[in-house]
Amino acid sequence: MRKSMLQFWVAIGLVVLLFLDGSLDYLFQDHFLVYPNMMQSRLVVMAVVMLVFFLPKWQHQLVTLMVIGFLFDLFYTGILGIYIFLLPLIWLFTTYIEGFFQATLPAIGAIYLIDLTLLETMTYMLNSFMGLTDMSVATFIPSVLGMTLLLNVMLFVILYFPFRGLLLKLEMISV
Amino acid sequence: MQKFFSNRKLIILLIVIIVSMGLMAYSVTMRNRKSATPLVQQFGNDIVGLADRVIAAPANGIKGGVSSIATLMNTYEENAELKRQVDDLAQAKVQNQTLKAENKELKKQLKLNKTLTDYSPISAAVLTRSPSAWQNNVVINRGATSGIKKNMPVMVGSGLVGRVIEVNQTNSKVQLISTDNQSANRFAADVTTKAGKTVNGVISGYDKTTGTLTLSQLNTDDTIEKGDTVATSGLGGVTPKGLFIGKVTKVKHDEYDLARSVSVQPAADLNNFSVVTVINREVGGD
Repeated sequence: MRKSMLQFWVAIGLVVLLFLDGSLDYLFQDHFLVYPNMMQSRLVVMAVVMLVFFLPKWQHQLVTLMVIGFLFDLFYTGILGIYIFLLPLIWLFTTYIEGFFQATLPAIGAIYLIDLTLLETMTYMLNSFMGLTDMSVATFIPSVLGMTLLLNVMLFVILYFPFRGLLLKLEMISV
Repeated sequence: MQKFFSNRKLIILLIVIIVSMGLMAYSVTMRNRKSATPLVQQFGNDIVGLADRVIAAPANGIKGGVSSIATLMNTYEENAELKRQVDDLAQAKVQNQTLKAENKELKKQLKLNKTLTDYSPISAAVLTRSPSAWQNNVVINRGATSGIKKNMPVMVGSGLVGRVIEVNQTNSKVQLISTDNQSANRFAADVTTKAGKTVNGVISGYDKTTGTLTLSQLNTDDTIEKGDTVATSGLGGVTPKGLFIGKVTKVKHDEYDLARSVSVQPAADLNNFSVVTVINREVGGD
């Protein structure tokens, strides 16, 4: 498999995860999105973090992530300009601190948590800035941020090894 | 960090931030306008929506299966309860039919064509929900080709759940009434009191902790009691009159006893539905 094919499959995988996020939240909407437990599944972000660790970077990876972020904005929220900017930011941040860590489950998990905190805080700030929510910080931290981290850490622990296996296999056939 | 914030990258970052803020401002402005979604956005949404069906169809199938098993568990008690209600309903249905016919006759005599209570329903299934705590949106599988227009109210079987905020050709976004978006379009509602009087107000927000809607800007002093029914009033916009919203649970006074607001328990379960009805009012809106 050539390298361009690898990039193609990664892009398809990210889109599938994007849809899975929505479907998961819809399937469990009476548990996930009810106050005070506002959990949002963030499989796409997990994939972005894992990509940084387990696949070689390519030239236009940032553009791919911008497109994925744009699709999220377009299809789910209709408010353009949030994820299109935040997903590449997450990728840049992870690439920056990747060198200081070894690719082990606890290290990647910790980085994932930091990324998620960054992402959720930024989306909260942007949304309250635009007047799209009036939630207070005191509510945001336990019921949105805390719960989202909790859900995603659990998903991460379950999905880490299958995900890693898949990515390593992809890398093997691409060289 | 020295390297990351080199001059060129800093400028790129600034430009990206400005562009993203601009895009956000643009989308919020577009949403508040009455006009339809821009064509480019519609096109993108239609393609993504089509692709999403590949994932959503099996997922929703599983959801359907699981909830059927769950409902099977309490079928016996439910059946007994429902049987009791059916007798009542049959009578109400016949009465309803007679009244409808009579209403039609009387309207004809008055040479009235369509009034605020006339509407036609459009059924749609929920495709997916936006995984976001800030936008309480669901995506439904009907769009402009099925006659859906922006701002139409959306019901599930038992009551009002939201409003269409974005229409594409084959799918649309519905914002639930549980949103805390401050620029969201509000519903004009009225309370029918026990004395038979009508009190007009506006659904102005949603209280997350109690799960109730807040009805405020009430226009008279008529006594509203717990258990009174709240429905849309058909004033303004494209919402017809008489869509059931819920029941009054609490009447609140402010500390000077001047303004009142009413808590309304929504009749629809805002977190568990898979089929919705979009309501198309037959009298043109403003």
